[in-house]
Amino acid sequence: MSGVDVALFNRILRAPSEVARDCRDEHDVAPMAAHALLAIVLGATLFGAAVGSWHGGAQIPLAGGKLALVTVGTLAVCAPAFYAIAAVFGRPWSLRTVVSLVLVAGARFSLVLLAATPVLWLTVNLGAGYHLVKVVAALAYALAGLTALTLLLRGLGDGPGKKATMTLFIGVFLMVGGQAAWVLRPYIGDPEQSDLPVLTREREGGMAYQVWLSVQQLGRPAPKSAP
Amino acid sequence: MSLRDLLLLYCVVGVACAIAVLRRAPATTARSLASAAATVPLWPLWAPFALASSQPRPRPPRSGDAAPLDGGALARIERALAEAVDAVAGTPMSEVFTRAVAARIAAEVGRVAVRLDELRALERRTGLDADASARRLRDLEAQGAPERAVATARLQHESLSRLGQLRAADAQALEELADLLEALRTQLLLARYAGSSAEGADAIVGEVWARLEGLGAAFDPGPERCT
Repeated sequence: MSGVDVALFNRILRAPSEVARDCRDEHDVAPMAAHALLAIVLGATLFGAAVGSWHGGAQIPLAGGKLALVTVGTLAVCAPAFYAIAAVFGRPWSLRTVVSLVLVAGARFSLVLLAATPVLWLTVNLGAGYHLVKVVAALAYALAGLTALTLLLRGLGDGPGKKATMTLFIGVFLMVGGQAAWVLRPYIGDPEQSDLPVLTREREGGMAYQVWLSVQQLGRPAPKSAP
Repeated sequence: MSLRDLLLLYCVVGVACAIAVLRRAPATTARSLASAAATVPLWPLWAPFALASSQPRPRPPRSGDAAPLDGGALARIERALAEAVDAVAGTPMSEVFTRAVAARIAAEVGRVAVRLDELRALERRTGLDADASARRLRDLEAQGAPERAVATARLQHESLSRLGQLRAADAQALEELADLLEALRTQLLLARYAGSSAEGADAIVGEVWARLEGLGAAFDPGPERCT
């Protein structure tokens, strides 16, 4: 990459169909991938730093670095799975096509996070509580996820197996991303703890196990209080 | 396998990919070193691009592009002309559709086809691309570039678009001409074996010349044609 081409970020945000078509055609995908990686790292780091600023101190760079790691790690694990899923459902694309589509979708996700960062930072600076910051961050994540999804949908194009491919993409991404985020928590930090650990050390069995435990608890009667 | 083993394996694959990137690079430059360094932590996402050929892949044809001529419309036209000449041989219709008329039609069609091929070759050689010029125009407008630069980019885009439309229209016209000549051949065969009137063939010959006039006018006025 000879220099940063801001116009390419603009295209990822404003012309998703065109970018998706270029990925499918493998037209100029190397500079697009390099820019996408830059956007992913930058957007996730700054958004993470804003999340960590609620606790302040070392949590700012830690949360920034961990969120970037979660995003890049999730995409790295998901890309080969996406390649296989696309091939099974009638889209036998090259690995470059799939990875470039995943990267530009990730870049779109991170650019929206970047746009939401000032809002989150302002929320923290105005003295918002732990739960409000969590909700604002979750809303920003949901919005970013939707914009990335629209690019992926355009990338898949029309044809049979589109719904199944997309459903499996989302399922794999949520599982991998959820587990990666779970492993690297905390980000905002427990308000009860003044000295936050870099990583939570309790062995809680992973995100899927915790969800399963919660589902099991749903069917059980509430414990009776002692007489 | 522990997390440490997994990370070690990940790094080993990353270093191997980085070495491959360096060996594949034509020269050891800052760019190739940066690419290799990025490959170590990001190999699942970056290696497909870093290890690919440095030569850009030619853009595949899109819906607005003219269809290739070789083996398509030209072959159909030549076959239909030859069969039409055979159909009228030894009949009064040979005065309407002579071998010389067929030769002149073939010469006109050949001239148009050569010019279309030249335009196509020029586009491949110089990289004239209406999509790229549209992107450039959009980028300049988005960046708020000076009006003169935007006007130049707009002129370039409009010229390329017009050229593309001309090529597409002429290729389409050649296809239609092939259809027309096949209809003429069938009409002449009908006149020969069923003894029907050659009025239909007369009308088709007139239509063929009109189409050829239209095709030639796209490039230059051309010599006066036989009617």
